[in-house]
Amino acid sequence: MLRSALFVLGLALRRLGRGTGATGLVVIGIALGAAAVVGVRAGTTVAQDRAVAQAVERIPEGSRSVRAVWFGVPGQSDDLQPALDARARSALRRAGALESHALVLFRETTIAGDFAGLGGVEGLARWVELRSGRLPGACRPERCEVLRLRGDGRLPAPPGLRLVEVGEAALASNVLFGDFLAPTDNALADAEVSPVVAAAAGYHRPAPPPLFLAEGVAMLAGAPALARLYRSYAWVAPLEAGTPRLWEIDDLAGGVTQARSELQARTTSFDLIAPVEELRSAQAESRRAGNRLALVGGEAAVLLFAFAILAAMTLRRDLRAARRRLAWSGARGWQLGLLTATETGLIALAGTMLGFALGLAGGALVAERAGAPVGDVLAKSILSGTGLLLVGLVAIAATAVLVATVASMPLRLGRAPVTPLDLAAIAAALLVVFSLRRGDDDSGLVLLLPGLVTFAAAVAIARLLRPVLRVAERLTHRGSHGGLRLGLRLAVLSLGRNPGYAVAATSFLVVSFGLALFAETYRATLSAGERDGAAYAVPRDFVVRQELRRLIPVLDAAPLGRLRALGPGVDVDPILRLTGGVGRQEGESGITLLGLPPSSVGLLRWRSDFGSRSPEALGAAIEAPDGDGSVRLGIDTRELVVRTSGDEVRFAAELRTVSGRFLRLDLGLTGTGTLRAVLPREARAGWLVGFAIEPATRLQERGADAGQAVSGRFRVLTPALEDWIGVGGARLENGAVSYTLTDQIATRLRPRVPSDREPVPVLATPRLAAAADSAGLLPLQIAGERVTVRVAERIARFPGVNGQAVVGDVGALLSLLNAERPGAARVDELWIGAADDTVAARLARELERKPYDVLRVVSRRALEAEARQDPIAHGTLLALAISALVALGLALAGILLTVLGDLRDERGELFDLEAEGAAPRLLRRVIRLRALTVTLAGLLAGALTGLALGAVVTDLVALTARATAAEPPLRLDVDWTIVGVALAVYTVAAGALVIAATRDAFPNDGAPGRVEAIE
Amino acid sequence: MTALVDVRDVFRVHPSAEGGVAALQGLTLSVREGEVCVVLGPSGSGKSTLVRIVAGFDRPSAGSVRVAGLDIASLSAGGAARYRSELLGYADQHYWRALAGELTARQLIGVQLGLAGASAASRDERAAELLERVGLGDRANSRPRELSGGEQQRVALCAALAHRPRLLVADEPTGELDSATARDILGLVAELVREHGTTALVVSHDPATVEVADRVVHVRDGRVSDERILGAGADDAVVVGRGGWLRLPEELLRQAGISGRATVSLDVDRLVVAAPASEEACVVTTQASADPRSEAVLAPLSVETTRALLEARDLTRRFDELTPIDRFSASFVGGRLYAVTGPSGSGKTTLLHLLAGLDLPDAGEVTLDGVSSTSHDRAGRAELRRTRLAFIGQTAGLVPFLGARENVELSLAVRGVELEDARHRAAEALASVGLAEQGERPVAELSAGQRERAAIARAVAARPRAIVADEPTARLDGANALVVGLLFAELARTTGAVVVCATHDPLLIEQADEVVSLG
Repeated sequence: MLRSALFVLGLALRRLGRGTGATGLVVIGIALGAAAVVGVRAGTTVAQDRAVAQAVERIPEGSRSVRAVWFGVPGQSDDLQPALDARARSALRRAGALESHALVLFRETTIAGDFAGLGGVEGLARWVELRSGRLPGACRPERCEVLRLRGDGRLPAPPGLRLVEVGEAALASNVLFGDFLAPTDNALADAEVSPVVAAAAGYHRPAPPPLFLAEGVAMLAGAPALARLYRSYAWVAPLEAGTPRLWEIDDLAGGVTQARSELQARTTSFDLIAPVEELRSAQAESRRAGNRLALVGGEAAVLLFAFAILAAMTLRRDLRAARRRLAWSGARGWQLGLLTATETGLIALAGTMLGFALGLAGGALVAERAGAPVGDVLAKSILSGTGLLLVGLVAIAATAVLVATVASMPLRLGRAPVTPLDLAAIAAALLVVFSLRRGDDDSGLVLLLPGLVTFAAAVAIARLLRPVLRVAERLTHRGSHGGLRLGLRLAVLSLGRNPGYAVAATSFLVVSFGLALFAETYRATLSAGERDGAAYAVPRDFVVRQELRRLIPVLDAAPLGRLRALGPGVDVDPILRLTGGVGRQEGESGITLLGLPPSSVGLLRWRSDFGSRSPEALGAAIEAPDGDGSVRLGIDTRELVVRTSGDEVRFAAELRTVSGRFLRLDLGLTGTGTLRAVLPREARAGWLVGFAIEPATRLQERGADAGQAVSGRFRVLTPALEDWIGVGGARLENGAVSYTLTDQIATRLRPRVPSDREPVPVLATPRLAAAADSAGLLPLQIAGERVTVRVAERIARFPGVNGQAVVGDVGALLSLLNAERPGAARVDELWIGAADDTVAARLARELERKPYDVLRVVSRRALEAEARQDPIAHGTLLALAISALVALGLALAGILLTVLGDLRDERGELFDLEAEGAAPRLLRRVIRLRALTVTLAGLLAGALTGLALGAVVTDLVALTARATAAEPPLRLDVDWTIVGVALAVYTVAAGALVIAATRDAFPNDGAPGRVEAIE
Repeated sequence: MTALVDVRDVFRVHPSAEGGVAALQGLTLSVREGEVCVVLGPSGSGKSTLVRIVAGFDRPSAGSVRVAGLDIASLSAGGAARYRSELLGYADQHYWRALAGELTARQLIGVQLGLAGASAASRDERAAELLERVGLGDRANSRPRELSGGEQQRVALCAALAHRPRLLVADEPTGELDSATARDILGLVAELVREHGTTALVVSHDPATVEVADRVVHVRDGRVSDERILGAGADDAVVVGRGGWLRLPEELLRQAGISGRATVSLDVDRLVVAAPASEEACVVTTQASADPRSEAVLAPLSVETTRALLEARDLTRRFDELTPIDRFSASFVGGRLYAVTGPSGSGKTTLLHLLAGLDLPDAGEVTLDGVSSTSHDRAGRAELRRTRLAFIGQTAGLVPFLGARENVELSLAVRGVELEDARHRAAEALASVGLAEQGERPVAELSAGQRERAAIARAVAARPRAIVADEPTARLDGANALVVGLLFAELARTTGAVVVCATHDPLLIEQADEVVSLG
């Protein structure tokens, strides 16, 4: 048994040893496929590593470290600082941080009667920027030199520790102190803040005490004068740029947990802080990025394996002949199986090993180009256990595919022959359906989608080709036989009669065209997705909002007039953005109310899936009158005078300044005759927008105690409140006001606004639209007020808004909301359009300068550029483009193999035709038209496959090119220009190739048609 | 001696669109141990099916097959492989296909032993012994491509006998050899099997194979038509099938003057078969629905029927070491049917290809209707064929899923005939071969005889000056072969075209006006 098995192995080796071109092609195909798999594994690791590095960069500087901290007073602890220091450094080393920096901080404490902050840092020079003086020397009791970081307070003078100020400095970074020090503690962070914020900060918090830093920790920590002071010790190991690497996160997280346990086992005063959650999140995010690349790589691998299968078709005849010979010689089934498995296995193994080497080299190149450590990347990807297992699986899969290709025999289900490939294709189709039904983009199945879909399609076309060709033959049969028509009919007949290699070639073309189109379509979809995403986030060329750290109102820093004066081609839209809820819908909170000029809707980048109507039509649908009926105050008006009579209530004017801010001006009590109040400066030339009516104080107290409303009436004699109304319990008729006041509802007199007559029309997203009543009226809770709008159109989504939203005319919405409560709504965002790139560039420069630099400016072009430069997006798009090109190249090779295969396999049929009198020209035409038919069939089926695959992948893998969630969702996009050009180039190249391959196929110089046997 | 091979009442029906084609129809055959049994029969007579069944690759639909007491039909796949490994040796007609190109002669001979687990030394020893025996001792390390055809077949024989099988099955062992080499190989087969005490079942359509036989069995239509034991004291025997079915040797029928009908009478204990009194009135009836001549609507050619329409002058065609056509000259006159005969390898097909302009001679000239085809280029020769010649190959070359009419029309389209004219001519030609009723049926659904007639109709419709046909009756049963022979003869006489057929078939040869023997 063993000897006969060895004999078969020897036979297999001898057969392989003779080496044929087809074997070489198969090996190359598998090698390239394996290289794609292996290379993509390395590339995925690099991409994930880059993604993690980017995520680490996004972690605030103050948190970007592993930090052991201890809080307390030495007297309450058994351990002194040196012991704590040793323990903390040991724990940090366990967490992987070999180098750490110690510090001590007495934060805002009274030291020898002076309120101050005092700290000591190891290697202070690295962490501060000197502004004056010099760096301090090592701290000694007799002279402990310090730097002043902030404040004007006195330097404390504790007994036994002589502090000496030697200069002023600012912290160079927040890494060391993290959140021990607030931003405002650092002189460097004394940036411009809104006066409102500055005032608020000043009100709530006194000026911070001075802060001094000394060189070294031990002396301050052990100073007897400070022994009873509460202090913080910290040992900080910064996460340097590029660390931790992707593969170090798990170890770091584990080490941090262990180290924390170790520290807290001794005392709960210790803690260990590291941005583990952020890193875990980055790791998870990077996995999605990696999966995307794996998807692309999987596609390339499928393509190359398909090419290997095509080439393997040429091995089939030879291997079957060998099996037949051995069967006649009495070879047992297992011997035949051993021969097949050995040959295919060795071919697959050779291809896989070659591919492994190529992939290793490619992975090293990619890692090197990406600036990642080559050795680590390879060790953690290709050479890891999983990587090697993957290579093994590739070899096994390649063997299985080769065996199925060269040795599988059809089974019979009833009268229909079914091959293992058919069964595998059915299984693949079922898997795709399962995947679609499940809709789970985290499933590993998604990564196999290109392979599954194209495989099922390829087998389907192989099965359908013959009947389709029969139908085609029937169509070409009609009418008279011209030269081309006859050639076409003969070609179709010949294919229908003996599809042979053409079936394999067509299937391969389905795979290659399908994957090429998929790759290009997916690339175009991702590119469009990036553009759509940028246009969705920044609906015009720029969006200007408040900077949250400064809270300077947008219109304060960038009045519309000033912006519009920046030059021609600049178009500024005031935007109202508020959040709220829906009155009658449970749980529907957090909706966005967006107001914008209706005319600007048509200027947005609009997609048909946003709404069924055109943006222009939608803009027209929300147009509404926006007058608020307010009374303009003259430029010279310095005083507001109101004459009233009747009951006493507190009466206050509500004013709007020219800058859009709202003010309240207390006029006093009604019923006392003339009420006067001096207009604040900023209210001059503004507008009177209403009067507030409140109970007089005593009444309010009494009313509140009694829990009863207060009613009464008074009269406003001047100004004449024509077309004004009372709201919230007030009634106004010809200047006579009757009222009922409570603490719950604001009672006001205000001008009538258009929305009093007709609700403001809005666009609403589906869930909000569904909440409207039959008349389309939708009550909203916005800015604490209840307003009602009318849903004019339903939209799926709107640029600039995530989630459920209503969108209306900014003027009308401002009127509506401010009529309910002055100051409830104001423009706090601007969308700026630029006529062209030049204007946009100029505008971008302007917006970086004062006074706009205190605002948050987001540029659509900058977002697009950022997307283009993102390494993952760039890598993904590049990989897809390369995949498409490779697929087209292999499709060309497939056509060439088809023609050569036809010339070889169809000799008998061509001989018959020649015997009938067909001239060489006709024979060439037949072969060429066969190739054309195969190409067209492959193109059509490939196009369908590619588009279907693109749609499925786009639907399931709803990630942008940067592997982030897509907003708006990705939509299949076909760049017809590129597809058309590629098709044209392919057609020309394929035509040239076919013509070249057939030009000398039937030489006119007297060569015989066919003489195989001599009889 | 006991029977090593015992085949009884074997039927083998292959499924087809029509419901089944019977390759064997009650074949009974017995081969004694040590005997050399030659099974003769034309192509399509069931020989290959018999070989596959005896080798355990195929199972009979009915009947029993026993070899050395083993019921072959009931063997499992593993059992059949073991049987082939231990009892059977096989030599194929296509020796080049049977020999793996990557192995040397020595290795090839050792394959079956190696599969059985023999050591390398014993394999080499056995190979050396056999190679020495067949005179190839010095070619042990040669690969097949380095050997001549005869040498390759010798190696193949050695490989088949290396494991000392009890039964050697040889399928057309001389099919692709020249006649001299074929005689050598046949002699070698007989010597080797007798030396080894091996029983041999040699399948062939070459009558020369009979020279080495102990027993000759003629097979036709899947049945044994004639069985004789040769040698001293052996009686000629004719097999009586179940139900009294009797197939008389064609040679005897000819000698007795029986062609269509016969009278059968009992003379005491002897059955007397004689020609009927009015034999002249006898009409040949065949499986075809009617005598095709009765439907013939053949357009006569306006040619002088005594003129040579096809001429070969001093034709020579060489293939490497072989020269199957060597200074061959012949004139083929219009209105006559020519049978080109000769043993396998004598160059029949090569000559036909040369005559049809499908191959070019190394020397000499072919003229068709007075035009030298050899002076034309490939396109010119194609033009000549389109307008003046029809070629019918061994395989009809019909599109199986098209009807006969469409096949004929397609051929005419290739010849540049307008569609309307083609329709008319196709109908006429199909009627002339008795397929008027079958024109719309896909060719795949036609019987073998009908397919051959469709191919002839395709040739007829072209109204050629010459028809060149290669083994047109190879896959036909006797009745259909006779019909085709008659049809060609009628065609030649009616249209004035010359018809040249390469054939082994005596039924076709019988109809020929002239026989051209090669080899």
